[in-house]
Amino acid sequence: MMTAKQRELLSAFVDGELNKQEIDELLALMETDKDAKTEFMRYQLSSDVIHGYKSYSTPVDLTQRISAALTDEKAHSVEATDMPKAKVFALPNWFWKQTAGLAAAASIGALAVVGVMNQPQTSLSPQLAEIDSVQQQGLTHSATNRWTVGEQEVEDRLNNYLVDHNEYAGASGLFSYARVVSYGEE
Amino acid sequence: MRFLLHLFLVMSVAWSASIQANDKEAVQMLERMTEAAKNLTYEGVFAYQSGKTLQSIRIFHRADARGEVERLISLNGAAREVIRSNDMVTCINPEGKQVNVSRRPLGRGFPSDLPRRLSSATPYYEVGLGDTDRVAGRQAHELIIKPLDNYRYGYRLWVDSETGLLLKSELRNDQGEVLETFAFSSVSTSVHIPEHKLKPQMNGEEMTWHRSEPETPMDMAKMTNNVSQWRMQWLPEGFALVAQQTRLRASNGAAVEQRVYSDGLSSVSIFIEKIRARHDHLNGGSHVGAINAYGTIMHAHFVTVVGEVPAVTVEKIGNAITHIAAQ
Amino acid sequence: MNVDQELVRRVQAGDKKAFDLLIMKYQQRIIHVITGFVHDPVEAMDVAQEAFIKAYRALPGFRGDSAFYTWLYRIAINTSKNYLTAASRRPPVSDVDAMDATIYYDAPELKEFETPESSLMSDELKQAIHLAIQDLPEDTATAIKLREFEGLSYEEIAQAMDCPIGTVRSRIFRAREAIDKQVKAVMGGEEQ
Repeated sequence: MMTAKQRELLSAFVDGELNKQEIDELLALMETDKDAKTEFMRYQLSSDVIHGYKSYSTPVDLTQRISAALTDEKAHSVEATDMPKAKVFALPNWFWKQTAGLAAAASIGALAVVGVMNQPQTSLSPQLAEIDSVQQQGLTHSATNRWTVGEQEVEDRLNNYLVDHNEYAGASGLFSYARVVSYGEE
Repeated sequence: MRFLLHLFLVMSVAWSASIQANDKEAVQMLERMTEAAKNLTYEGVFAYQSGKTLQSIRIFHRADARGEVERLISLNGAAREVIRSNDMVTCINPEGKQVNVSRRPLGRGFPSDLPRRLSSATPYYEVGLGDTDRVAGRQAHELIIKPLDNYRYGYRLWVDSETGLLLKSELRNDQGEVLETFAFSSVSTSVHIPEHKLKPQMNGEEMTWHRSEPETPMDMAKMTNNVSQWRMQWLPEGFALVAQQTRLRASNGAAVEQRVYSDGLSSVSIFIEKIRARHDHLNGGSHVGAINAYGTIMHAHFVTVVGEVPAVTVEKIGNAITHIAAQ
Repeated sequence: MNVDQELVRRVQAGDKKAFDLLIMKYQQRIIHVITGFVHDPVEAMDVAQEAFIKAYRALPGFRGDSAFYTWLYRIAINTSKNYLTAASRRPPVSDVDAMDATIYYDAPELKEFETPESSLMSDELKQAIHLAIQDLPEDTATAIKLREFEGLSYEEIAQAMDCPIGTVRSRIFRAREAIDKQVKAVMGGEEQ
């Protein structure tokens, strides 16, 4: 029988909110208590269902099958020093927060902008992370069907606003989302 | 929602008493148009033109006991899609490989609540009937809506004589120049739209939560202690607050306050977003088609005014926003 | 700390058990994703197993420049497509290669592939969960909603609710327990 503290550990794992020591505790718990896995999988299932994943009525567990299939597989031995540190560590913290929050991106009532994750080379450059002060984008006028702003980030934010505003836009309500569909097309 | 309904009833009464006889037929047509947009099931292709942009868009709209579902797909360029259901807006952009899912503000203001809007808009516009014309092979009545000042745009609407469906719409500035046109090239009403036509073309992952809890935004408002700290010192005459909500931005969890002001026909949204990290923002004006935006940074917030109104209007509004602490 | 990242690091350093945790956490979602391609539940599980094995083998090369789940999702999609090609079935009309894992939208077409029973069960579960949340005390309900619906981290919830992180964690746990009670009841009903 697990203690409340142990079950709380499982709940925190659903949320990805564990420190290193707690990960050790969790690994130990999974080794010693068979219920831990079942319990965790039900917690995880509830969370998945909330997020709209249709599921089989009971959680499916593939861990044993997969472990069995991997028994003969050599354990990895990538040393931490082999990792391309420069690239990994150049990522600003907010990026991790963002990618770890995939579910957040979808579930937040506000528009989820996920474009940033598709442009690691531009959005995640160290230069950006090092920007010291809030920079403001100047305006330029042009006839293109895009916001006349320089930064992708600013454009994304304005596009969120465009979609949110369209809900209330004018007499052409019937057509208003056409602006969104046409955005950026020449 | 109940508030809106009350507002609607109050305004309807006030407005029907004051409406001028020559406007009456035009306004009745507008009401019919709104009903049609809501209750008809239709399918068609329309063109959207703004500046150099010309986009062909297919639309499916189904209205039945389940509510309304609408899907728009662009036919040239990248196959962007927007799907609107009763409480969700999903925007799919295959080019940028991104899909945005949004809870619909207020849940169900869909499509437009034009009669309510018009009731309050009438004093600021002249509404009249134009000629009959043919649009998408159908006979249409033209409606002419002209603003009385320079803070809003005018509209010309072509309404299907038979069904009341809006077939064509133009947004015009004070010079009479057309800023934006939406026009059906073909449309069929009373069609059956099978389920698959309302689904996105692309397969993908399902990650939306089901928004069966209308109280959530309220909870949020309560919780973040969201008494607005912002005041509008100036709005064009006739503009009043019609909606307000605070939501959380996905990318950084920042609360974004949206306040919508409308004169009944044209509307402006003000977005106030707390700066959570060092980011850039629009400083000054920008536009997409007929939509103007004006951005500033104030009290560590991005403040952005967005609306289908002239640039001067968003700018004036943007410069008239003050933070309470600053007063 | 990013838990997935830490688990990946441990697997890379030779800890196979850490991989079990990643499977446990993501298998339902991965199976769900695969079911969009491979409609037969038994086959879908085989494909899921294959995807996880591929992921394990590829893990030394995983650099952490995308989230682990994003990476895993891509592997699952490719595995599904390969499976369909091998089985010379017609792959779905859309080109999923062109899509990235950072795609969010309701894919209602998946419902069509469910058996009526499983879909019913899903709805029942969802309903039970929502009812359980409605019955929670206010603080607990707020914490779980901010977590699950708004996607906030414990730290952000602590800020929003003006309470210590430990309190957030225990509130969310209490909510999960209450939800779990209902979930168990639904599952229990199924077995009878």
